[in-house]
Amino acid sequence: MSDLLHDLKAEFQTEDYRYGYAESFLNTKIAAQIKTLREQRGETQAEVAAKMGIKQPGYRRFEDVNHSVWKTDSLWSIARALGVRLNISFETFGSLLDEKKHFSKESLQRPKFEGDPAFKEPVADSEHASTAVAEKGLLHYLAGVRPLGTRPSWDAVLQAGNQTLFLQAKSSTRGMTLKQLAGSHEEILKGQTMNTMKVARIDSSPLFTTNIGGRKSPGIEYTPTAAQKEQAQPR
Amino acid sequence: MPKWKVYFYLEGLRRDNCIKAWLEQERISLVQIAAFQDKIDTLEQSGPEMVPGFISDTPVAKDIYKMKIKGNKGMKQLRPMCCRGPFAPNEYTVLFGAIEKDRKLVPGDAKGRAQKNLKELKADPTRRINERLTS
Repeated sequence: MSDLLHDLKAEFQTEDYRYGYAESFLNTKIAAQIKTLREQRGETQAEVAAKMGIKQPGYRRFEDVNHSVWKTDSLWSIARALGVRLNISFETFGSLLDEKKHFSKESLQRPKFEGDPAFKEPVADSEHASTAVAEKGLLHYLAGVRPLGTRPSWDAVLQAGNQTLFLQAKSSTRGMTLKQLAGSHEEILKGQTMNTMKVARIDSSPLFTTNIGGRKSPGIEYTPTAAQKEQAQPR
Repeated sequence: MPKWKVYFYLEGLRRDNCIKAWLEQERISLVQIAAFQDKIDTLEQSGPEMVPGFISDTPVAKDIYKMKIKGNKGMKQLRPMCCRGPFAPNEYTVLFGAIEKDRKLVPGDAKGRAQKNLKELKADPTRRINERLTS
């Protein structure tokens, strides 16, 4: 690889050569990435073509390194069919050396929006960072794990729990019915040793407001067991 | 270390790189030579599946495949003939230079001459070289 970079540095001193190489590499990269993303999704050319509203023979040229007349409309359409965004930018020739160095199937793979780590955790961004901390604390608390010997008051637990569940419901259940929502929360409860807490009541309120601790509010209401309440009393 | 290697057949008594000689003879532009080199570099680095459409999926003659380097308007359509191997699985050898005009290979006997060069290469494995097109 160092030999290749050394050779390219010398060859790129000629303007025609570096532009010819860069144009070819761009076409190679686009075609290879379209193929890589389609294969990553386990889809056939015909399936992606159908999503784009075209026939497979028309799509096939996009996976050919010799295709050089790219229309941004087509690229947007491909991006949408593959569940990714399109990014077009102007770069230095030096950055091409780096791209060439790291060019591989793995480097071209991208998850779809649904698998994008940035959107997997509903409370992962900075705005909800405190909620994430509260959620962790709540789960540790209910699982009997007390971080560093500290123990929040039951009110603090309830508040953190309500906030967490509300944000989870809001961001992870878009498009779900309230019944489905309750089902998904039951799954969450089982997975987090909170299985003693059951969905007590489901309102038909359109607001996705959740509540923990038996307080009246529209939405879904969770009730702690007597043992949990007792355990939760501050020492 | 490249995962794949691309060699060029050495022809005649002087053992010239047949593709370099052909590029010069056809007066192929530097822009197209660079495009050809890019595809070879990517092939050597990542394998044929990362340069889809560069080498024909099916042979154009027994053991002979067609490489495709498209030229823009006014440029020649390069179609060098190559074979897989022939001495190791992760290698290609470019055997003969050809262009495509009106959907026909020029020269017309390009496939046959590639097969002849392959036969000679098998008889003398030193008749090939791995080098850059501009060296």
